[in-house]
Amino acid sequence: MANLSVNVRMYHVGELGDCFLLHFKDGENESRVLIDCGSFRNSDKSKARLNEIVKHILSETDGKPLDVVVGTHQHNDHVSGFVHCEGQFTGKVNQVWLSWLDDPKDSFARQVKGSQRALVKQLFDINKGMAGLNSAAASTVKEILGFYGIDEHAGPGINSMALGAAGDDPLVPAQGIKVLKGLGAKAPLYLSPGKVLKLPKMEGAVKVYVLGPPRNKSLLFDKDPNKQETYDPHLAMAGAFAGKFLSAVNMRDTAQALTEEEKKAKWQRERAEEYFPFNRSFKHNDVKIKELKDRAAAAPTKEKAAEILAPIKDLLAIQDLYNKPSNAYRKIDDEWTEQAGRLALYLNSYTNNSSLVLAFELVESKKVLLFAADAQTGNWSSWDKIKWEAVKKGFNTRELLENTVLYKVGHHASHNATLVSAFEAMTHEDLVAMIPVDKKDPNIDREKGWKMPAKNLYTKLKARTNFRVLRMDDGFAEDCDPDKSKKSGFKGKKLHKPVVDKTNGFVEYKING
Amino acid sequence: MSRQVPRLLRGYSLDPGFSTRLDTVAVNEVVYRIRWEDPAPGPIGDYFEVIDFDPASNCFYDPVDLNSVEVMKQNGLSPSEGNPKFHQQFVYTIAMQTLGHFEASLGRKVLWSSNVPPPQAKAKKTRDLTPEEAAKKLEEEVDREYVDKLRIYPHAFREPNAFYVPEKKAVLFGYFEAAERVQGENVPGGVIFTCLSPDIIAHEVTHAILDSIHPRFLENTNPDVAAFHEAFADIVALLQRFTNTQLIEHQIAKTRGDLGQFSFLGELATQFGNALEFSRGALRGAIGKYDEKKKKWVKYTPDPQLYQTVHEPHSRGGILVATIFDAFLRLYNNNTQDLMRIASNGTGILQPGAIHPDLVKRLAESACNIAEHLLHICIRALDYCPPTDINFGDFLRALITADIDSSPADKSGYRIALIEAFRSWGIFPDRVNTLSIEGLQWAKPDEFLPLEKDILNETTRFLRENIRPIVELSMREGNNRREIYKAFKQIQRKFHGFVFDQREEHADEKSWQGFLRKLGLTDEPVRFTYDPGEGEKPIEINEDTPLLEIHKIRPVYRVGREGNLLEQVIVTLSQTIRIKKGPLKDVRYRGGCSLILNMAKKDPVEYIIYKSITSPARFQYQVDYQTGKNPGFVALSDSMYEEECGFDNISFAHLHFHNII
Repeated sequence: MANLSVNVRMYHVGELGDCFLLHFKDGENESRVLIDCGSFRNSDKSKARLNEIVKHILSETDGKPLDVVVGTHQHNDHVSGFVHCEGQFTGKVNQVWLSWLDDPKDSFARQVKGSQRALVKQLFDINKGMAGLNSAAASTVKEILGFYGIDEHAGPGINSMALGAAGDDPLVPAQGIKVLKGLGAKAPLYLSPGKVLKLPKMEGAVKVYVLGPPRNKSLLFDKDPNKQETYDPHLAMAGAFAGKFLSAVNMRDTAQALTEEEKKAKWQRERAEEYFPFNRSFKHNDVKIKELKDRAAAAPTKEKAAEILAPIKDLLAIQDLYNKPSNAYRKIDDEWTEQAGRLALYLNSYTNNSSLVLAFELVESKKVLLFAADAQTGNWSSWDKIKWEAVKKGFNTRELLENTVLYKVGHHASHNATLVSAFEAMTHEDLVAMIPVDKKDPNIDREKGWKMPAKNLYTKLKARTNFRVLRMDDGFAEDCDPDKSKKSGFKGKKLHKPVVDKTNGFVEYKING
Repeated sequence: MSRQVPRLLRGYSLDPGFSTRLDTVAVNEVVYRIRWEDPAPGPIGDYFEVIDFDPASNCFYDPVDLNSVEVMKQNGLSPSEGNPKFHQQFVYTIAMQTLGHFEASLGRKVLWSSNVPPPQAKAKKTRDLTPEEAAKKLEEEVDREYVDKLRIYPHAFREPNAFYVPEKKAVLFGYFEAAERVQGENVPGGVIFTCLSPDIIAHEVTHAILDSIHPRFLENTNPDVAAFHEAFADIVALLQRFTNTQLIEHQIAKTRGDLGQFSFLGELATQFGNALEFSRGALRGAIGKYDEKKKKWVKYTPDPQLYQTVHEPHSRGGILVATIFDAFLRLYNNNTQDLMRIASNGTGILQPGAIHPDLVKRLAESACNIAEHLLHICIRALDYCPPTDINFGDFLRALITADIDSSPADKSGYRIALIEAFRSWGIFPDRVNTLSIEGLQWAKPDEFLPLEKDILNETTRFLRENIRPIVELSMREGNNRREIYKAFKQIQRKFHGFVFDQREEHADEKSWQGFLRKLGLTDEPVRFTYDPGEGEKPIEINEDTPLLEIHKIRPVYRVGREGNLLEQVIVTLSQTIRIKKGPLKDVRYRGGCSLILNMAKKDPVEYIIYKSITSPARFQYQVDYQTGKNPGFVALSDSMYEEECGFDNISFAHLHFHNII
């Protein structure tokens, strides 16, 4: 037992993405756990990169299968590798772990997934509909849908594939989960918070605690006598809003060459729009106004023209005021489209919150490795209330946090994916943080890009870990390389020095149990 | 201010949802009395322009003409959800009503916050200009900056949201489809218009007016600032409701005079709240709320812990709202004890059953009076707030001070009630030793040196001479706010020159710096050492002497609760440090004061309400907060596009959205 150790390897996927290999060793026994394998895009380059990584992972196992493969949540940057490298993985996985949300036998999960899928579909449609609008929100929507497999760099082929057949999941991430379900020699395990597992082949030495995603049925409002089940009212609302937004977007879509089905849908939308929010007789659109103006222009006399325009005289005055150049800063032409960006962000947070969060405990030393996937506040804040099965009396989640020596930073270190109060509880003196982030990712490396890592969190991480932060792209975060900086907490002491392997593209850190 | 006949306009007293309930239908339609003006179709009046453009539906709606016969002859269009013209009329009505309360309480005309941040005053430059050049430049600036009308878009987008956009000087209202389930009085899937809820309209317009008085309350410098904006808007919206006697009588009859029981009076935006999929009942409550566990409405119990632990702006703001309504209930209960005893043969215990209509009337009268006074105290207190970095404790001190000025005797105990309420909700101001009225009143400066007194007297003389024209302009009827704005700019400029002269005169003397310090200002470079904590090296801040900005000069004339007349001038001075490099890049730190001068007194300075620019402790606190070191920091946006920091201004669009999905 005294020889228990674990090597944690963060592979460099070349863009935003997660791929972590945990190699536990205890004398003769060893156990390999792969947590996620994916990168943001689905281009040939991305695929090739992932394939190299998977090849490297499998080359070290002496032909033995990976003991556990974990798929945390259905985002491209976490599971695309299982699609692109399916062939390599086949026959090389003993068991797959997924969250309860992926359990086909769980009716609650099916409902959640169903509504979420519907919202994704709506946002794909919104994205399509907004192509013609010059709105900042449109690019937000497009960027975020990247997590769901849309990819402008991959050419039109994959985008239409990403949509899948009508009503289907977007292809790549959903396909990733589907592939995962069939990869293992054993049936997959679907995990709910509170569960404590023994790590296969390390039964006595390593325990795995499941912290998220929360399974919060109390969110259900069931006090209405005539309740109609919606499992998550917020998600349902987002869906309803997306529906109305889509309807507005589509009304502007003058795309020709519609299929019969599309025509029918368009006709239905137009009927619904006629009475929303007011009866159409109240609505004066440009077409209607122009018609009257044209008629007035063609009128024989000035009086006649004035007569024709009389009913919209006041309206034209308002329109002029609105369009007055000195008032340009007060216009609201595009304000309404910002909703799309908010909905996309909401969906993104929602999926992130569905992350499977695992804590690996090295039983004897009690050291903990915390893999938070992309969990955001909703997921983190549910951990305190978890009812743990098969634990000693008095055990609580706090204990896991206090003993955390390795923290895989949530959501590539965006500001909202590390709950402050939980992070404050990570007080172990050996704490090391690993951030799967690539500063060259086009979504990060630009003006107004994604703030990953977020400035303040990054500073805090460095301070709290005593400058032991590892990054996917650079290996060491600034001031953390023991060869270059005096500050680095990797210097001396009993800790292992991390290995940065540029050839095979990974950063590895070893922890003794 | 004009004393013409009011314009009468019909509208909802609560919101459209109450028109379909048998118990409230009778009181839900009321006739509002608003100030008379002559609006163009829109309505486009002196203060507001309603532009009904619906970009999501890609159309304009016909504007309502309030002067048309069909509208005039029937006290405005009849309330209707299906007629956009009524929507325009209604937003205008409530906006005007809200504005009316502010102008009556503040004793001056509201000028919308200007279109650009106030330019850095450059006294020297202006002096070099010839008078003609200066006049031309001034005219150009006024053209660019002055905002005559706040714009209102009643149907701006399809979301359950409404917000004030400071950059656009506009209030945007959304509409949306209600939840598909039956909740409260909703039509499942029906359309809900935020512009038909008087609460929401008053709330948003209050944001705009508050911004016009304190533009720097948009800066997220401590956890109370955003919360204060929200709370204040709710307080005005709710207290304003008490001007509607009919509704109050109805609710008092229903609760048998016990306002601590459930009534609609403390419930904000009920229809809106019911329309949200996850919600039960009103969006927010001031007196109590629906308890998920007990499955019924429960009155709040004051919890002094909340102020320490709750940081999300709406919830935190809710603490202040609850505190003000706590004070309201204390006053109401205290002032109606006698009526209750009379009505119950001296026992104070009412017989079961309905209470006498006469008693209802008297109780309602009491409630309305108290609410009106509280509303006015709250609004007046704005003039007694520091110009930047407000917190709830400052507001309590402002309330107390404002009330002492307007009502020295306070026979009805408003101040005591407020103090009791703040104490029981755990809101204590900084650096106050006792929660007594004297302790809370902003300090009257008495330690001025003779030379400083001279400067202050000079200042007062200068203001007295120069402020007259503005006072006269302000008294005039009609919309001359542009002229007033211009006059303010002129005097601001002149005053800047004056201060400059004063400085030249006293430049050699240490006392000038000492004097400025008493105003929270400085005449020296600013040096701080910021400790980032977590074992990191302290950061040295060394900034040049910040420019002195004359932020505002406002004359105030008002009548107090006891009929006394008050003539004051409020001068706001400020300085700003903007850190341009290093680890604290983008930090903006301000200091300054609201100087309240009484023109009638020999010793003119009444109060100096300041936040010191040289305070290292406040700097440390602000930066800690803005960089997320304080556990109270709440990121106002949940997106990976944002850093987790508070350097950005508060966005009401985000703030309000956050609360919904």
